[in-house]
Amino acid sequence: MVFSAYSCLEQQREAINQLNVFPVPDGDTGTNLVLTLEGVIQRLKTVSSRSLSQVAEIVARESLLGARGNSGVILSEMLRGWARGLAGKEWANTRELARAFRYGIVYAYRAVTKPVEGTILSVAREIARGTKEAIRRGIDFPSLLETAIQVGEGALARTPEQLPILKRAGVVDAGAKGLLTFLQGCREGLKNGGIMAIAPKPEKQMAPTPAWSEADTRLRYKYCTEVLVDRQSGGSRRSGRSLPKDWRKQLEKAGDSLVLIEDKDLLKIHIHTNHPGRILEAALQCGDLLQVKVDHMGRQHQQLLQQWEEGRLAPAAPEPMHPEKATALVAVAPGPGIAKVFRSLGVDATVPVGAFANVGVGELLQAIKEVAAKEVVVFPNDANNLLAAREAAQLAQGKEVKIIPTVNVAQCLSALVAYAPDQPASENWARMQVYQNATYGEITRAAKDANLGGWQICKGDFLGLGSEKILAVGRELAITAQELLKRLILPQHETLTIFCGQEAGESDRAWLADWVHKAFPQIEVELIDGGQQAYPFLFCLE
Amino acid sequence: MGLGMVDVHIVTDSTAYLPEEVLREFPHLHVVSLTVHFPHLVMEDGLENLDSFLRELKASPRPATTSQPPPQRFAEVFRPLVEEGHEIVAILISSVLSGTCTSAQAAADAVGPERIEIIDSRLTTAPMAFAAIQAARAAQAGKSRREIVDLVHWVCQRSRLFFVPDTLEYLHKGGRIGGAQALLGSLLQIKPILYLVDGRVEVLDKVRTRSRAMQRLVEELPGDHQGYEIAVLHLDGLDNALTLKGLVQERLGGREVPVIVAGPVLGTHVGPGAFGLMICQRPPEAMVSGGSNIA
Repeated sequence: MVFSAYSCLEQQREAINQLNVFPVPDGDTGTNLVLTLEGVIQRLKTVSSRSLSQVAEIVARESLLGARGNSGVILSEMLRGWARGLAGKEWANTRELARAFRYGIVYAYRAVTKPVEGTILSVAREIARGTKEAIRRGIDFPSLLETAIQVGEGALARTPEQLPILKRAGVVDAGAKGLLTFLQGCREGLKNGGIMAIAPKPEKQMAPTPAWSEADTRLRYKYCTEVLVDRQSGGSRRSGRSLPKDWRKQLEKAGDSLVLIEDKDLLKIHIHTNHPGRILEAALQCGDLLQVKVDHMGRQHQQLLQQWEEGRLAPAAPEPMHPEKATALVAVAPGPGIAKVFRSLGVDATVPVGAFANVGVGELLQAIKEVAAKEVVVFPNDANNLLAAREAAQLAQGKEVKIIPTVNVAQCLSALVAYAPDQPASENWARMQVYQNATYGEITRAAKDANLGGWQICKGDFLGLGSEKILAVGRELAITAQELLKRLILPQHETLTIFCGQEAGESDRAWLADWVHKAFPQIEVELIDGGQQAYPFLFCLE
Repeated sequence: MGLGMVDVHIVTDSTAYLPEEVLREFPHLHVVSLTVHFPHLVMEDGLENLDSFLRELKASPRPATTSQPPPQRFAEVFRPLVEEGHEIVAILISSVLSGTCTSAQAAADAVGPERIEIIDSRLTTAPMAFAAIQAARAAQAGKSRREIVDLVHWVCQRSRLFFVPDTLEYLHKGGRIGGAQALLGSLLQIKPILYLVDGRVEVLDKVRTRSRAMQRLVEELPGDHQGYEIAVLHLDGLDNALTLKGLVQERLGGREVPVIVAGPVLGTHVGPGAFGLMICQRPPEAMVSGGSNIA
């Protein structure tokens, strides 16, 4: 059987469906997978090529750059495996598709150095195993996909057996579920053929926290575009008349959240779009442009803008702005205040993070490219950023990138304090290993009801996490923080740094610091406005 | 006493913080004092004024300042000695940290430059005191000026002074912060470990906690410590000093380590609560007291 490139194109576009039907229970993974594919979809929309290998290559590159979080990177590896299998081919038959499919699974598995059973990887491996026989027999691709999905569903159901924490929480592994959903989506796409209509109805998606879905909506259409038009000045659409229907339709097609405000003199257009230029052209048809405002709505970009304005982030100029030094440091910062502290300790570039989302490979890569040094040390500061950091490290040409595998801010601080710029890199590498000594705690909010680790959790509860466990649960922020600290602080601790997030009010901050002073007089406390969104408090203890 | 009719006298400044008993033991040893200035009070640098200094420091709304001894004060010590036919070797606080050497040189030029040798120890407090005491012993043993000068250079070049201020504020305001300037920008609480390099304050390391700072100091101790004079210093930080003393003694296999107090001028620039470590190599006995070749 021969699959036309077009048909495969549809299969890829099918991923769009994923944007609407992602049933992953953990908002984090869902966001990561969606965002990883987002870039791919956007890019594919602009491509009309029929060449399979070309499409595959685009998918591979875009998914890598957009890869976010562990699951995102793994998915992108899978797509890259597919692309590898389809390289150089204008079209492919079943066997070749199947082989490409296998590549995908293998790549995904290889992406992680310490594969953990009961996750997306074991499901991927099961699928690879289960389809080996089918591939050998040379069945057609749709059947192969069907087999893969069946095997995958079985493996998915077994994940709670493999990871006790999943069993306790009563869920299956989110990443694995995501992979299954992706494959299911591909199957749907194949079945229905044709181009799937993109129905951006964000409010219909599963039950993510508001911050999550907000981030997703915004990123589908990047530019908030507002234009004020002087209708009196003419233009091909005469003033005084109401705007013609097809002109309006033109705008509606270009994005969403369209608002038109008009009187006989002025017209204001507000729209979220990916093509602000088209909006401006359309507006020009109605008259002179009085005011134009185009803003990139992504949070990351807003933070980047803020940093730019603070004069801290060098623009992406071809020449490095600063004299080149031997080693530069790049760190992922969950909040602008935290980024400031990092930079005061010698970090050269910080990579901001959205509400719950993790950083993408592209963002890390950009930071690595921008710093003026041949050797770059990267601090991922979250377990979910480790893979992305490794990918970025591999992609960075002409630079030697090392990663200190910090999984939280406390570890990063510890390493940064130990860093001595005047020492050789090898010496610093040894010194920074102290990062493992730092103790970390965080307060976050429960996105949904759950039963975890013996705790009965209600949506909206504050959760105190530390030592990779839930150590406190409560409705009150300050009390929960207190409970967490009671369990985290040990007699040998001498310093506590508290990064206060956007949600932590003045009185809560003061109350907490005060309590620590009294309860633990040997500890020096510092309160820093971290500005982080998702965590009212981050604790760094040493 | 040696055969020579010429005695060599040793002059140092108040930042050596030599206790009374030492001065009594070595009549050839003299001290010239620096001064501490408060908004409404002027105080001579010396251990006897330490308590009132600390009280004033905590009460004072504005920072205190210090000044080198005017040349006159050196001249008052130099002149009688030179008139009696003696020679003088002056061992003074680092010229990077104070203008004391300049003052002394001016006095020497006026009184008798060929008889007086001014040495910039590139140190201060305990290690400088150690050099001065070795020089005094050598003088008492009848060593020549040349030999004493060589001895002082030998000792000073093999002496190290480390300290951990409670805050960098005093160093910063007093202008002696040197290489630690780079640490000022940190938004995080850091414990800096500083030391003197060529008479200037530099950063040895930085850590997050006091206990780690002490561990870091202990790491500087020599493996074979027998040939070294080792002491813990502090300024209104006895608790810390005792903790550090414990750690050092443990590392040295139980050897007793003295705790030395620093005084007002140092306190002005480093701040209360500071603690430190002195590691000085002991000179060969021959250089200090064994015979002498007087030409």
